Amino acid sequence: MPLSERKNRVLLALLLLLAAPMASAATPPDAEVAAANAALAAAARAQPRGPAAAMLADAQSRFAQAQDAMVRKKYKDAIRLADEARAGADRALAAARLANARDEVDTKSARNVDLRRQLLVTPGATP
Amino acid sequence: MTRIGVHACRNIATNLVRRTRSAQHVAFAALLACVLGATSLPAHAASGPDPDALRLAAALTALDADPALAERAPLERYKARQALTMLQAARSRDRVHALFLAEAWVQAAQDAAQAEVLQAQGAQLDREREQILLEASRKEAADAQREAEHLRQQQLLREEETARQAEAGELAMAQATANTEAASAQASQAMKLADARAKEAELARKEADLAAAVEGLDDASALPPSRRVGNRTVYTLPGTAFASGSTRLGVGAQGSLKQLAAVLRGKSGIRIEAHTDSQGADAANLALSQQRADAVRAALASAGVPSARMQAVGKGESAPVADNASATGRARNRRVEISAP
Repeated sequence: MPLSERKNRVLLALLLLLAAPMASAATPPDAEVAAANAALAAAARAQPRGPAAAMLADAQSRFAQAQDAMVRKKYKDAIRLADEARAGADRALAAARLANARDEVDTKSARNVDLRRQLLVTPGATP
Repeated sequence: MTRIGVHACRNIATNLVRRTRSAQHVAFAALLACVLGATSLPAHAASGPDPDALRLAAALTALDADPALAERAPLERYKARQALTMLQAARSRDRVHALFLAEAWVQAAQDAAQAEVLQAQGAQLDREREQILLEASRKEAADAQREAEHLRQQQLLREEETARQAEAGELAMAQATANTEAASAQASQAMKLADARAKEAELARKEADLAAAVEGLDDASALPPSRRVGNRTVYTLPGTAFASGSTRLGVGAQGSLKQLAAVLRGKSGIRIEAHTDSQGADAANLALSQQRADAVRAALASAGVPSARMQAVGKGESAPVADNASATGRARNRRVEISAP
């Protein structure tokens, strides 16, 4: 094979190698954005408070940036930001559920103590 | 580009200068590939294990090792492992992004696992609440049963007390009836006895009256017994001259007084004194004696003795001549004495 032809093939291969990622970033990441949006909605429904609320706010901020990247057709950035927004939303959701579960356990424990005292402890008896 | 990548590319470039022209093309291609490939090497390839990846891997391992959390949050745990793998394989330009994702998913896995544990605790507390309510319901039922038993016992006691009182009342009533009957019988007996005694007394009185009458009849033609006291003669009418408790003279006494009137018709200063025994009240005896004295004077007057010459005095029980403790003594004390000079 002549040298010039071999050179052309090598250059073509290199061009293909470089073009592949660019081609993949040319499609809008609608699925990633939708998944992030759903995760944010789920986290918001959990009504996070304190640190979880801050996490949700951070995730919402990243989601806004992802949407902005979508508008600017910066799809690689949009994918990265949407994934971060989804992860942040899931983290906020887990934190909110943990806080809610703690509150629920505390409430139920106190309720059971009251209930036991009201219904089972004989008046005048040492608890 | 990492240190290893730089070193390899430097070697390739050096070789490129030394080799022939044809070989230079191959070397050029290799250099490009090296440049492109170097950007794909993991960020930690030159500096050893990534400390963040190690830290997050340790956190996941600890989560797996915790017996309370081991089976919790499997989806979040899976995502965390995926993110950790991506972090370990991330190129340097993607490391921040991969680290953010791994941090978020590991933290989410930890929180989700703990939340599941707490949710299980909440469910357990719900069961405990149900158990408390069940126990309370049982306790309430037991209390109600105990109260009912208590009330039943009280009712039984009340009924027993009522029966006992009724029995006692019946006994008392029977006793009262018996007592009443006994009292009635006793009263009837006493009444009969009193009647019998009254009849006996009446008979005795009648007998005495008859005896007195008989005696009076016997003595009707004779003067009353007399005795001499000083310069006066004292005639004594015995107690039988009057019926018991009466001021009416018996038949014998009237005859005797007619005889005595014949003796006393020509005399003056005649004194009539009536006496009783000590039975009864003094005032009553005094009055009775006065009435008997008056009766004797009236009898003498009707027999012809002038009333002006006679003085009738009731002495009551003040001048006994015998012991009042005996019936004989009391008979002697019941008398009328008529004295004249």
